[in-house]
Amino acid sequence: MMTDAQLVAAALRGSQDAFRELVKRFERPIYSLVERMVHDPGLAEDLAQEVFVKAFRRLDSYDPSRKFASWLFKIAHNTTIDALRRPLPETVPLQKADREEGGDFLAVLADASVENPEAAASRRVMARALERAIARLRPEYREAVVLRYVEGWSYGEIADTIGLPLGTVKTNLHRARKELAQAMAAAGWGPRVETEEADTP
Amino acid sequence: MRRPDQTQSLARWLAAEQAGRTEEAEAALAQLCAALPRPAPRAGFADAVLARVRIAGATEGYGLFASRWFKAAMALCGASTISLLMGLPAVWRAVSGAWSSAKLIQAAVSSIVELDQWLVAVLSVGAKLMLLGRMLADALAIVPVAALAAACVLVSALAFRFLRGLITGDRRWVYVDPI
Repeated sequence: MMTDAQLVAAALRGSQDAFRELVKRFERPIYSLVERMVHDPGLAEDLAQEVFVKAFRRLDSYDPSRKFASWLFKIAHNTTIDALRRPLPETVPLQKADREEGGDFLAVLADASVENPEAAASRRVMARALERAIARLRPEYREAVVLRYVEGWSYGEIADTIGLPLGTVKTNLHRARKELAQAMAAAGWGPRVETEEADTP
Repeated sequence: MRRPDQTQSLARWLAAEQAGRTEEAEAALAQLCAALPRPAPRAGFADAVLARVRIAGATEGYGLFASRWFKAAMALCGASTISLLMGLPAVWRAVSGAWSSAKLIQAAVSSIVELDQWLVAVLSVGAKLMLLGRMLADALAIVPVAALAAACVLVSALAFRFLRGLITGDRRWVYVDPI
């Protein structure tokens, strides 16, 4: 399998397939981050497309010694903030209702058939509570949480991508974790509860 | 295959958080977040991106037409055309009402007089502007004054550019309305 840097080199030589492969590789993480930041699937898709178009146009400025994901996520970070600074038209997030009803969760967790239904339901409720707690975080905390705990990035990579000092990133993540823990405890997912039955709020 | 017990991960995370065991808390939260569903774009996302890339490439040569100056000039031309078209019926009525040669001559003479008065007014303002321009030119003919004026303009332009760069380049979330 070709590395990201090799795909970039091929795309720069004019290979459309190479760029398509890069888009396919990163469409989900980029969309996932943007969607979590803007809370509007339609806008998120538009912005995610914009991120890749910008990346394509500036592909020659990418330094192969750096991680391609960091470079791409930096474009996503800048594009999202620039878009949110512009006055946005009133939009109705059509897919939101589905997600609120648990459509996405149900789809992704559908293979939980090996579990008993009660445990699967409990996990689903917990996942939804955690997702809501993340959504209620301040944007700078939310972005750091997504990059650190969903994407598995290091502090340094996060600092580089969102343009904040390393110490600030660590502090933000520490505070974000505290806020998340408080939100989960307030929702009834406290550490004192050990049994699965009692864990379900 | 059984999934890892997320409820236990949650309990471990919250307990570690409470006890201040950062590394353990991070690991447990990462495990929880890894199990969260990742929102995905609709099918055909990559094709849509490539189509946008092609469109962007095809319209790159039309940068002039996309520039704001071109758009402003076009808007000005449009507004002028519309105002001319709107004034046309009034002109036609005036001409058709003064059909007799005496009325036509009278209307022509009065419009020439009005035009003359308007020109005098414009010229008097123009004369004042010329005077002001001459004074400025006289002042700028002195080398230190000209250098100072040029420096002021340069500093203003640089300050504007710098501030604009600061505002648009600082992409911190604190400068974005919370969602």
